[in-house]
Amino acid sequence: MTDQEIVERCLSGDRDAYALLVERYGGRVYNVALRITNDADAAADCAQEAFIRAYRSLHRYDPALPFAPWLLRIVTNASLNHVQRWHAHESPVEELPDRAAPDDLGPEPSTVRREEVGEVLAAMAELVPAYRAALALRHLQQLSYQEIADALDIPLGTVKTHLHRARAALLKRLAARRKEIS
Amino acid sequence: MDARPPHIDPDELAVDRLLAAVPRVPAPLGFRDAVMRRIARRHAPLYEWAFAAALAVPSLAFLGWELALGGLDFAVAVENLFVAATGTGDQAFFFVDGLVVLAAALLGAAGLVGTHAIVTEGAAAA
Repeated sequence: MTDQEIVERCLSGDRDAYALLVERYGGRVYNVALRITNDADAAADCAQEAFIRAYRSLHRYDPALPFAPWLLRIVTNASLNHVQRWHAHESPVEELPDRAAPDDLGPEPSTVRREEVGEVLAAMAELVPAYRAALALRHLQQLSYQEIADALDIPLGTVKTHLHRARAALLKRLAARRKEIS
Repeated sequence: MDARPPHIDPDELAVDRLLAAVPRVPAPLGFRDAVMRRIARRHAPLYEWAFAAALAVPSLAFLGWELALGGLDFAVAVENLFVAATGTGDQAFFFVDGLVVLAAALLGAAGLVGTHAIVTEGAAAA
């Protein structure tokens, strides 16, 4: 069943059909929230809030467009709003999951890789929230520039600038961290 | 869904490779059920509010009407009650209409239902 068919069922009163969308996109939505808020509890709250807001706004969703970017836009806004309100509350998140997501099942990551990933995420966490959001949407969720522009409600040129600066800042922080370690 | 962006610019490649190694964290256990519970909860207060209103409005109207008609008797009854409660008198006389008691009881029930609706709405919004 396509996303649009599920949305149609929801709009016709079949509330339970929405569970399919929550199951289908729960992981992606949670991961975007997690990378922006950098806090597991906050991410769960923002992800839940995003799904509830999306449910209440389903009548505004244009079925001609893909559902995922529309949903990711909502969770991005919810997460950025959360960070704006509670930025002082940010605390490092446990970056590597105890259990893998279904699509991560495969060879066990080596210790070296886990350390590298930890460094990347720590460096990413030091970026400003808007940069984290842009990086997460582009490189973790594979959105296009235009979809990111829509999600963040900023012009396309600003997205490119954000991403360029975010990448530069990330690499710089990463180099600094590695230098500190070595 | 897992494919890399089709047109990665050369200056994106380094960061894209780095972030490609970041594992996806699964949503918390029970995430879907929690969302669905919150969605379902939002509909409950509508019925509860309607029920509370159906109980409260006629009761309030009746009590208001009673008060308008026999306000003086009511004031005397309340005064007698206070006199009896403070113990300065050895007897107290007051008359309570059964319908007034019923209206007050219905108003109390409406208050309980309304409170429950508020609590449910608050929990769903939290």
